[in-house]
Amino acid sequence: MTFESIVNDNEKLYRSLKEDQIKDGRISKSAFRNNKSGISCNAAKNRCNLLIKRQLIKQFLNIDKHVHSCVLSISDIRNLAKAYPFYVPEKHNKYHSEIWESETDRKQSVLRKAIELSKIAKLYFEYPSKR
Amino acid sequence: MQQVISKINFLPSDAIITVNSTMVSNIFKKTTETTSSSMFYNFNIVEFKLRKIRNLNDNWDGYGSQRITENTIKKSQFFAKYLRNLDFINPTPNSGIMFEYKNGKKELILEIYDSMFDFAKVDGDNVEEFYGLIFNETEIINLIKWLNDDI
Repeated sequence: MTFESIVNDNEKLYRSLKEDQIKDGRISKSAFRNNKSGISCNAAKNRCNLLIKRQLIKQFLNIDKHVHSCVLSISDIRNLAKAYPFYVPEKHNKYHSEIWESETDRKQSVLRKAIELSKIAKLYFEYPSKR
Repeated sequence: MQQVISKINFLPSDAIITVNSTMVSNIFKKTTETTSSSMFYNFNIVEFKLRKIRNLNDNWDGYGSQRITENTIKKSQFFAKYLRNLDFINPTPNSGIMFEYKNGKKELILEIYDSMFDFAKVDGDNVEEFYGLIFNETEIINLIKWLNDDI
């Protein structure tokens, strides 16, 4: 596995959500729990919104009938949530990134991080749109 | 004769649950007079959501998470009888189920696994966390009382 710390404050990470993880514009803490690895996201890497959305739809529409996602800024992840974002490219997804517990520990083991990440995450888009 | 107390009609037809007095007595082990309608509401929502969670397959979130075990679902059903102020109930990638309650500035986050649970009490900016606790009914009741300002 190759990985690289994300230091660009202008970078953004996008994470898919389930419909039940959204209520009144708020995001459930469960969206930011993980298992053995870090919290998986897709990085923007200078792509326009259209390309970012297209990738999320392609990646998650076969899992569910709807695709929902949120966006987190790198500065908020580092400064407010005290978590560590990394590029972790995969064979089939060069934009794959993860949010880690620390510089060396991938797993987010504490609920506090999920609480903080849910506060800074902003709803990004849903597909198909209900509006 | 069974008395129908509540029928939840806004759910899909296959999920409509009729609550009758016998069912309530069996579940709560007490008389229906002492059971509030809000408890029925939350109980039915939880049952409905747990049914959805039970039907999830591996990779339900698109991030490779495993399905939730039957034992975890059974443990979670235990909470239905104590629920008030339920905000979210969702599966987690740890094969757990997370309950999120909210009462004003107070939040209670419970993540239930096969035989253990984690929780966090949030009161404004203060967060208190506990991990790997053995499943204990008294502990859970105390947490829910804390949220509801009963203690």
